[in-house]
Amino acid sequence: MPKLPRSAAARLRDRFFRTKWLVMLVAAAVLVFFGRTTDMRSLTQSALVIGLGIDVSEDAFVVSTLSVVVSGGTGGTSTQSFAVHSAEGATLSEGLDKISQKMGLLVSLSHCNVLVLSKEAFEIDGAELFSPLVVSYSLPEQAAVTATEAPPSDVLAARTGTTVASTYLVQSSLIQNLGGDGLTFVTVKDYLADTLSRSGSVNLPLIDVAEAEHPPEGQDGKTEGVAELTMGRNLVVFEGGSFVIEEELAQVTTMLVRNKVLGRLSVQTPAGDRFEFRVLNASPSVEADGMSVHAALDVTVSFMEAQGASAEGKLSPSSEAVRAAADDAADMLKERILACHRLSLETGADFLHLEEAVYRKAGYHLPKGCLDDIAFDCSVTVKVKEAG
Amino acid sequence: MKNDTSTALSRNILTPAALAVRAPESPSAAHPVLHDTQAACLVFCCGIVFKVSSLPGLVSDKMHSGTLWLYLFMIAVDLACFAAVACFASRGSADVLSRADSLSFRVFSALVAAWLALKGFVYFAYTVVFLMVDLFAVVPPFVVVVILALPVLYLGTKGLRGIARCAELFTPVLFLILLGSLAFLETDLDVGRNLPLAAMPADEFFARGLRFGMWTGDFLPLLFVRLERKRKFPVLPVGAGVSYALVAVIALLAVAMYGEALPYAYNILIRLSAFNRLSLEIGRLEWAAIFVVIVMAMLSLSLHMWGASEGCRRAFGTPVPARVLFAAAVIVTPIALPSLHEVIDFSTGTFGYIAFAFTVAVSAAALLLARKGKRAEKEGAPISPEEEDRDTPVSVPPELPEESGASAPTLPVPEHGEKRRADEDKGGGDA
Repeated sequence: MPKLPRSAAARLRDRFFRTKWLVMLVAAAVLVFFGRTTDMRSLTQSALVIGLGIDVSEDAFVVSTLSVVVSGGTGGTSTQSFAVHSAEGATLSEGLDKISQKMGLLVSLSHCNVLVLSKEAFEIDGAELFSPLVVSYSLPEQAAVTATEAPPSDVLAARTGTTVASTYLVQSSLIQNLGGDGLTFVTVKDYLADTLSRSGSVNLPLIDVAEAEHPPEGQDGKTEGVAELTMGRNLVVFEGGSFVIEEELAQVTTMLVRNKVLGRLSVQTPAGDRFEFRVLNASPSVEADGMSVHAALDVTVSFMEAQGASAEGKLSPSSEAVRAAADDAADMLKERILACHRLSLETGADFLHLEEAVYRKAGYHLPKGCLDDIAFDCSVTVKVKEAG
Repeated sequence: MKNDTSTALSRNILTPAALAVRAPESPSAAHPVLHDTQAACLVFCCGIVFKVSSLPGLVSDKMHSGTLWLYLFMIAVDLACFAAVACFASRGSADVLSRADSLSFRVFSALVAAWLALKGFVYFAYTVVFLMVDLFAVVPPFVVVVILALPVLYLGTKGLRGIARCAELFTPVLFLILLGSLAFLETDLDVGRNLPLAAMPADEFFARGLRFGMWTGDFLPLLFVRLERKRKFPVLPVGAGVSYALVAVIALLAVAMYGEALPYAYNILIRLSAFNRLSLEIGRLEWAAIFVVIVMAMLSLSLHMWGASEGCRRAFGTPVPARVLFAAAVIVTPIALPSLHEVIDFSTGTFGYIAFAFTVAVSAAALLLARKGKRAEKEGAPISPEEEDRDTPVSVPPELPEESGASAPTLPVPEHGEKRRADEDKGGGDA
């Protein structure tokens, strides 16, 4: 290597030592890239958990993980396999540590996008449940929280006909709104925000597991043990416990509370004709005036089909029959909202978030648990538009 | 970035006595000059980082839905104090009062120096806690402390010029990352969570809210600089306005995202970047926000260290005690303390009220001292022979490299003011 002239070398040296920003950049890079956000451990030493199940039995947590195990193959290729492990522990950390011991791999939740909890697990305070997982195990706050009446490990272990892992199906359904009309995407962050709010209630998608009626056929004939996962129903979690609501009520609650575009509207006219609409948009507004709350829901739908329509000719969004059906759909939704309100009063679960709406106007002095004192009415409009 | 106004030398007059007492390390050490674009970058990099990282969670724990309203109140107070500090700095009052050898200014400098050292240490503790919680799981704390302390002490010792140039260099990058985080934010937001407006009675609001007074007055180190305007466009007010608007927007979004769960979000800036619509395609972008927080925190801590040492120099003639104290505090104390959360608890207790009162009092005192300085300047002070040649602003020759941090090693035979400029670069710093 040719030796630089002395003046040039000195200039380079001076230049280097004067680049203060470089010192800072190097230190920042060291802190960022050697931290755990960019885990430097080999994939073969880690259990990348893509689904976490939590159940509670008597005085212990039953923790289950669905993990991707990457193993090295010949010729530089690697193979993936999925494994479900369960362990009991007095705390979640103990359960996860036991799973690490069973697998001989370090458990990392940083790729976990789906949490499946049993009804009993929701009796634990949400912050106590999720905070250690977020802080100590890097659980993403955007992971979806779901509920199940079956053991969570069964949901994680379910083999579906279309995806290699059950959580991929759940995740895909939640993101693309494919799980059913009552589907609601609740993240860890949303769960905490809702349960810690004045209303203290949240609706979660409930995963139902059923055996597939027609399992896919493999080379050796029919594959056994293939399951179907559906998520139409909701589990309402509140301070006093939890209960299940059916798809129809779940749908209007999701429209009203989470402002999401969801599923279909199916309506039967007095003449017996059935009309199907696809929900394009739902714009809710909940206004409180003192201890009175008015909910307005404007739903935009597209016309899909009509069966047994008594009207003559080809139907379009501007047809009188379609408009009448849309009005019927609005009445139906209003009835469902009022049914939700009745159920809310019966159970004491403020899953329509009425107390929160009143609190935002009344403020600090609003007594807690005043759901019975809140008057409620609602209005719904359904507009038919061409699908985009 | 190197430019002509950054090297402009104004009328600097030192009495021989003052010169003897102060004994600056380099000519520019006695007169740190900052032009408005650099000051705007410093306000952005150093003035907002601790307000938008862990503070929203801490505030929400006490203020609940009043979080945004406390932020707006604090921003209003902070902007008023900033205006006072900018007024003081733009008149070069620190230099004038130093020349006049004002006892009140010495006391003022000593108090501000002690305050900046203490506040810098508390901020350092916050940064270490953030790094330990969000970044490192099984790394011993001293590793994090040393890695963080090295650039902070280096930049803080190197001086204002280095900090300002780093701020200029990093500001566009950091600003774009922040804008990107906000632009690609995709999560369930409910702005109504910021309501009601008057969630709690006024006395309770202030009793709880002023505990977070430490987070006001992050720009107090600028008291010891001379602000000079580079262009007609009001860069500093606009820059400060944009920075504080960003703070308000992030506070609003934090409450809208988390509501009452905000105390569980340890660092809201990182959480904001995690909820992005590209996360499925390119993964979680937390590292980008972590980079923003680390760089801003380093600059802010360096500025606090420089402010403490500069205040010490103005008060006692030497910056060394403040530097040693600061270095010892940030390296030894985090390792010696059983838990850094003790520092956090301390900072949000009665200390918060004191911090708020101190910031307001220092800003008010700065206004009074600026008037005093103006009077002293009108009365005139003897010009030392050494300073005679510094009267005329001098421009950097056009052939100087534009690169940040670059020096002027090839300056052709510097004379007078240009010689001083070359000396500064050789010295490599202001303090």
